Amino acid sequence: MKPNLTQKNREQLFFIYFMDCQTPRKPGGGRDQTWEIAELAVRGLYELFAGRGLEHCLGFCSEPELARRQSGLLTEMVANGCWHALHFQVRGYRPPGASEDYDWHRPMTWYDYDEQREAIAIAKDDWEQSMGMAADSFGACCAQANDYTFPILAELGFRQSYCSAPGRWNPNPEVGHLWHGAFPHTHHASSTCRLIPGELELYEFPITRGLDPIPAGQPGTWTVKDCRAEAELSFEDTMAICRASVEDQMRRDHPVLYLHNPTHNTWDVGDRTSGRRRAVETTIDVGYALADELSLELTPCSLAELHAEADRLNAY
Amino acid sequence: MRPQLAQTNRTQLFFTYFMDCQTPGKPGGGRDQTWEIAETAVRGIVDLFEEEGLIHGLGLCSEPEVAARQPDLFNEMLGRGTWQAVHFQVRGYRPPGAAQDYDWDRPLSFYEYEEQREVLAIAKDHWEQALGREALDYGACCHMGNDWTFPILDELGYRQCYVSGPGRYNPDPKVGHFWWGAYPFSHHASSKCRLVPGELELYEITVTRTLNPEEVRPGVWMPTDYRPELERDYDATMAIAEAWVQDMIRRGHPVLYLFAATHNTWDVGDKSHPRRKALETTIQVSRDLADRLGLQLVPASMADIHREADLLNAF
Repeated sequence: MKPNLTQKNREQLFFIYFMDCQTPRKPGGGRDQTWEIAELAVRGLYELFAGRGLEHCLGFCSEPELARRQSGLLTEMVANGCWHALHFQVRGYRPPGASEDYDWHRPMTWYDYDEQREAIAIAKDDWEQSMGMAADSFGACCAQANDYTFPILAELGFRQSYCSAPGRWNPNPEVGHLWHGAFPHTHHASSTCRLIPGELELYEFPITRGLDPIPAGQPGTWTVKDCRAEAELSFEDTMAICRASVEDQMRRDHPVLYLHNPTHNTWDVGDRTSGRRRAVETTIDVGYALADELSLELTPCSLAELHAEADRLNAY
Repeated sequence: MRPQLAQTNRTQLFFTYFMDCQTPGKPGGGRDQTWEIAETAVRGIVDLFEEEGLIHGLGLCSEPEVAARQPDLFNEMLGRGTWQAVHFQVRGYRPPGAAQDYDWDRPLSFYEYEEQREVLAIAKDHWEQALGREALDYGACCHMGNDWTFPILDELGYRQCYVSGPGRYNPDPKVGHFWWGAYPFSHHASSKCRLVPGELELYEITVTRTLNPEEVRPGVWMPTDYRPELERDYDATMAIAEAWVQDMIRRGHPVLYLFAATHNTWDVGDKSHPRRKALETTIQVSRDLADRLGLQLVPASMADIHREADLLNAF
């Protein structure tokens, strides 16, 4: 019987941007972050994207603690057309009604199946109660996850995620980045291994980044460059990363072409003089320029929409 | 429900070696190859692997034309403990009773589903008739294959194969290498895409090679391996083998293996031949690497590695 091969879309370049909305003073957040800055960041980023008619591709990915504290702000952004996700950092997480925090020094990477499933289920419920909506997308703070994470997310009903950081490798117990050899572009996740495409309905979205890991400082550790606003990359450097990623997707006949870039709620995006603000604007400019260069239509979209497009193409 | 993760075997380093037994005068073979050399090559490598106690890791992978011409040789070598596979080059292939050859200039990479299925089925039957046994293992000459190849092989009853050349990319219509981004190590193949692990029973075993392809010409990428034809020295061979195994270890690959190849285009029995020395070096490197990593070197067939992978619930 003739197999049903994966097809590819070579008309559109999908463009996704998201803000990790982290809890002030928890691991992963900015050192001097405040709740006020957290709100300014969200409002500033929304205004920037809305000003360019791109609010539809903008995601606010919030920790449960933050969704509790700023639910009004986040539901306002839902009404504005942005997509949302649960962003989760287990280190220091205190569930509603609990008397103590989860371990502040133990990344999710080291959680076994049962304890990981329990923590993520609690966090999902926590977030959903605050937001009054189902959480169908998940982001792993600091790319901390392991082989159990994808099947747990699928089991809990998540349909999209960004957990992996292909190329990052740091087995330090306080870091837990075990992504050497991870599949570099979007794919359905696997229930047997975190690194490969698989059979799960859950669709994983690695962010746009350099494809060749570089030494991360400590011997035996590797990292990759990405286009996060905090890096304040120039147009040329941003374009180099984005172009290499899309060219790699094209050379390997990846079903969908996409750019997926982040920032964090740790700075005032509304400050037009900020170098980070200019970096966000640059990322958008690069998206359009690259689409033009490759004769593609830049298509702002959410994680769920790109997942739907991948499924239409019978993507792995 | 607790998922059943892929497990890892970290006590053994599997060692598989094979000879592509190609048809003199066809694409992929040596320019001055003869049928006599083809036989001498097989006898020489079998003698060497017997002496080394590694015969069980040696595969003779023959084109249907070679199997038809030298069936007694291959049956003798089966009796001496080698594993065997169909090795197939469609360019210039003439099936039994056919009036003409398949196109001499069109790689299998450009064959659509129906025509590819037809020729692979003919070649399988041809090989099986010649050798009197079922073909369960397959090798693609010159890494020529496409998205259809794996599901077709699976459908035809193959259980193991070496088709991909991860990192090789050359879209030239006479070459047809589309392996950029292919999964670098052994895996169950996919019915949807040639590059990713998938759901098929068919287990693809990739050849040991460098992991970062070089752009050898604009738009053309090539990794390098340590086939004896390249006459690499000990250090260069060890560098490739060690980087390969270290990468598998770092990513938690279920089985650790070394998988290298040569061709039936030279006299392996000639102990003074630099290729012979390179082949001996490959064996020595494998033993030394296993020692260095505290692993047991285990000569294995493709079927053995597949079986071990399935025990480990490998992707």
